[in-house]
Amino acid sequence: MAVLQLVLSRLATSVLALFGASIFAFIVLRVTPGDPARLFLGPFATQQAVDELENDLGLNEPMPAQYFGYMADFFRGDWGFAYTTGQPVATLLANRFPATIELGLYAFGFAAVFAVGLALVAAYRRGPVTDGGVRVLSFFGLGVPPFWLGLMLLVVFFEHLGWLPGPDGRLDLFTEPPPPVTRLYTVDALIHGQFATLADALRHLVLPAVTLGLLPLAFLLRLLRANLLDVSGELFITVARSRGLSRWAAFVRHALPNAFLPTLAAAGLILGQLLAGSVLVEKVFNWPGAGALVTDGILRQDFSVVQAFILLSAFVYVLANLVVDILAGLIDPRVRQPARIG
Amino acid sequence: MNAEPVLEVRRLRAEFVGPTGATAVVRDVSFRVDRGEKVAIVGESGCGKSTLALALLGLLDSPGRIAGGDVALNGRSIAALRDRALCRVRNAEIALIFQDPMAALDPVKTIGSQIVDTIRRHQPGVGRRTARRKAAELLREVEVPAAVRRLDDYPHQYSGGMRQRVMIAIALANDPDVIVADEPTTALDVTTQAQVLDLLDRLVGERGAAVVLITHDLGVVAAFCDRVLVMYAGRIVEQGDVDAIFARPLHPYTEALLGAIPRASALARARLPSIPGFPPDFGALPAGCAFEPRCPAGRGREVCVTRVPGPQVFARGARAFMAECHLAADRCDPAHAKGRAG
Repeated sequence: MAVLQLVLSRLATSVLALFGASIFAFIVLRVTPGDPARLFLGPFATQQAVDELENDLGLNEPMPAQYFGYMADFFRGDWGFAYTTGQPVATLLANRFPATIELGLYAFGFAAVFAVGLALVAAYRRGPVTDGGVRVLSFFGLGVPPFWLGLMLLVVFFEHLGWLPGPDGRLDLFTEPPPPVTRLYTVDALIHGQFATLADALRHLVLPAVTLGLLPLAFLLRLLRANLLDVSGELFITVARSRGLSRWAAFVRHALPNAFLPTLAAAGLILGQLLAGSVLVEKVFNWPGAGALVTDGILRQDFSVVQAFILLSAFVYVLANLVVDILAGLIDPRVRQPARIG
Repeated sequence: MNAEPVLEVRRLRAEFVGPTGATAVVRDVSFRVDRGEKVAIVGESGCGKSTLALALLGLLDSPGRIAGGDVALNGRSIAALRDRALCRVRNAEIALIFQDPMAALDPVKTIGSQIVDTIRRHQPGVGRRTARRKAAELLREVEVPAAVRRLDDYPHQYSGGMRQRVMIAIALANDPDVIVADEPTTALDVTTQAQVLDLLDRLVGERGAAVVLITHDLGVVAAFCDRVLVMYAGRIVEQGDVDAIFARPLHPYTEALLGAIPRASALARARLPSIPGFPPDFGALPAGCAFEPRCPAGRGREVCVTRVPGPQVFARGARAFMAECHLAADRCDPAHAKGRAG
């Protein structure tokens, strides 16, 4: 019951956040200078044609009317057309967005798994070696520009060693994408039992995911290690050991869950950010994600593409934080249950 | 007299290692506790009582360490035990109740799971259901109302007194031979203190476990314990039967402690009695007796200033007493005592 209540209240705030994001995105795009109808028709179109198109697109209507019209269409699945190419925005994003999501998820998985593992070891075995190792990894991860790291990884693992594929997108040229269900290739390949495709997709994910995930890995590692060291000094850890738990057992069973809580909120923000994609990393690996599409859209003032992307990203971002909030509620009873003293 | 010792401490030395070197906080402490005996360790704050408690369970963590001497449980030295064996001893042979019940329980685990975990860790053959039944039984024994339902509650739903009852339940979970209680009621309000102590007294009596009660409350000692060890600056300066020591303390420090008990008649004089001065800094102990600078009887005496007093054993009736004081022999003399009394 308590969990359901928590989920519902978090859902309500999420809807509010999305509403705010949609209004914000809408206003920012309308007040930036530019003339989408002119862009769409080209420099040689007559002014009359431009005016007519503006009317057709509803660009002359008052802003609130435009907003509600847009949102109504959006929920019906009509996300408009890209002014520049004339393609439906929904189709454009349907091809690109899952690639970004898949890369973001793997990057996050890489960051989370290694951050937890390394933080546990580093906090459990404190000493000059582990402390120094964590420091070096953190400085490297937080300091190295991802696009440079991506290029270096390509030079080493693709050019020299030849262990992993080069910057040729999500699959080898001759590998057919699996039939779309989620449009995440690894998931779809697994669903259809196409293990060769799965392996190929995974091999293509390694370098971009590591490149994109190293910064959040370093960040989470530092945060979680600091929280672990904090919690491991708590009395209940000593009590756990006095009950007969080994130092390691007390660490994993009691210090880790408590250290997770303050780390979770940061992890949610990072997950949201990763899922929204990274243009530079996508460029380095020729990853057919939404990043390039959207930068092009911004440069060409292609409202409908950018706006749909912002809304989708906001949705994913809010969803990631919703998941984190609910997770925090599952771990921490104080979040989901008020104190009942007695 | 010939009871078997369950806990025997021989010349135990515990120290903290700092940047400037090691500071001994427990200095050559020796005592024994017989089966079912209730022994108090009293002394001011900062005299090494809590460090001693942790050392008894081998729980002293870096920068603290046991630097010498030995703790024997049921005739077996814990210094020789490896980590795994030490874990099996804790809670099964010797359990520890801490001062601060608010911080002693893991906030994200249910009360039940923490008791069940304690039972099953030492009795792997006990199934989850049976362990849960035992946990409920323990909660009932420590008089937590609605015990079965409250197994699934979290620590923040318990009051301080109830949490200390839970700690007692955990300490009793595997029927240890010795329970060390480190100021178990200091953090509780006065009415709760009496209830918790009565409860501990009754349950320990039923099980025949020995208790080492660490406290600075001499009223508690008189009501609860058979024997008392007086600790000052990391050493046991006097030990003997409670009744006899309260009637006629041999060490001036013990006498001063007894004199510092607030009484209703003394309160009328508006000033609370106290021992002038503070316990010495462990890093800069006096060359002679550690209590000499504050001692009403020996301050300035040459022997007290220059020589550390060794343990002096006296017989009074059938029992032996120990006091580390140059003046103990004089003070033990009945004529001297009569003179003082008059």
